[in-house]
Amino acid sequence: MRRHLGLPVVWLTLTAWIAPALADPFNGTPAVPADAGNLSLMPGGVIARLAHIQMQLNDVISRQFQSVHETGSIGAIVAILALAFLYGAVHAAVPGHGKTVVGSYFVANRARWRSGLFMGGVISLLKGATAIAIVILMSLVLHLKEMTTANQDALIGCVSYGLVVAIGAVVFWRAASARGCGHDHGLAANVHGHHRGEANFQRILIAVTGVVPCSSAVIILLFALANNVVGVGIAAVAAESVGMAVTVSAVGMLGIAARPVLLRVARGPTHQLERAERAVRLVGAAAMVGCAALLMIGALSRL
Amino acid sequence: MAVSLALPAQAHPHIFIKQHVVALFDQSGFAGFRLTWRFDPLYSSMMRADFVSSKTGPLSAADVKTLHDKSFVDLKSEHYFTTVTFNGKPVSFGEPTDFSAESVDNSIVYTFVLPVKPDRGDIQANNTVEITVFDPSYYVYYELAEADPVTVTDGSAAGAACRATVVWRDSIGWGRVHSDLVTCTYRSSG
Repeated sequence: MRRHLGLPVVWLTLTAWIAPALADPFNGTPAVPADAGNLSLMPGGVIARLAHIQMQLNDVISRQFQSVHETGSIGAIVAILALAFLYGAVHAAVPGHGKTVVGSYFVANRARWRSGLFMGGVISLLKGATAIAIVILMSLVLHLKEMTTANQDALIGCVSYGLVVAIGAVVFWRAASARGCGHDHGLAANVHGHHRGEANFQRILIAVTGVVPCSSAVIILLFALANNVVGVGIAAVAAESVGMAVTVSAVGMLGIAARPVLLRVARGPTHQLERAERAVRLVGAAAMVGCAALLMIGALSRL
Repeated sequence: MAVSLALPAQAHPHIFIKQHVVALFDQSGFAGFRLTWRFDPLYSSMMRADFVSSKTGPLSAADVKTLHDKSFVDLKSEHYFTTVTFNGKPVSFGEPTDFSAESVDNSIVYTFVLPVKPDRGDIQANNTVEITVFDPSYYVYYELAEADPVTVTDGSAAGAACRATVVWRDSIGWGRVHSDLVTCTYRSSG
């Protein structure tokens, strides 16, 4: 278990701390934020730092797009794809992007490692595909204002997070009424008998979470359109989605890894496995409902 | 308008602004701040598509007016994301003046003045004015520019000096996050 836990932890730490060092050589400006003398492990410091990294990546990506537009440079295209991947990984590390849903789902439900990878991956790729569809429909077909196009995720997000709240409530209810099953299941695993229901459940969760496009993907694609390099834009969105997939999957795996730890804590010295299982399921489901509800309120306020 | 800069809570920043702060002084003392906001190129491209008549090149006077009327004025409800304190007390600022917008190196840049008139009763021999620009929803991320982030205009008679530090600010849903704080001190001849 510990062996598996290491990788996602290292990746998430990398996205938060090493990325500025990677971002630095591309634009020649100091990667250190204004508060460099005051580096803190507090989340607030990390969040401002992540925003700062995104700002720099944003700057560099835009310049590479212009360079592709003007010179058709292959190097610039490669740089865009690499940067978009990095951007996706860093961007997905901040709230949203289905991480909390994926993480808490796997706390609530026992699953295999590959289910965590699969769910995070498919959600992120779906988000990229939705972003492409949104831009084609709203900008190219309907000719809506770009800011309207970039903001559509408020409405979709509202509906989607509302559905996640409902799904979390069902997981909670099933745990409370002891309907969940105790052994391993995952999408990739052989699904038999009553497990088919659980796999369908995961598919619904993937669809509902994945259908909310990420505004950053929409914004990148609109920028590519403005520079007449749509193909590169679509490739960049794909690369960004893969970057996001790595981060979201890492969180899913953390959820899977956290489950036995929580289980051990919940069991305590009395070794009542069944009760502990149920407690962990309840906590995971409650976290899912809570996080999705917060995201829904956030999306509501933007309508 | 469906969308403007003044969007409330979203999960993560999508507009990135590099800022310059200029503390303005006149014969009667501190007069306010001139703020320069340089938008990131991606958001600038969207602003350009929605509010500017041309795709490239400098902005026309009509473009500047459109940006002001359709986008900038919406920030009033957010108090331009700006908080000013005078000798530790929050002080209100007037309507922004001298708004201008230009296109620099594929970025839209706003410049405007926030006039600040401290109450006479609050003015002491040595005064401290502080300004932070921060969006608590974190939809818009502000940071001070690398080069000459903070300057003073016509403040030498008052011995004015400004410096930038970092403070914690409460955000919506993100807990406390880092934000730039500009602190200016000056003497009043009274």
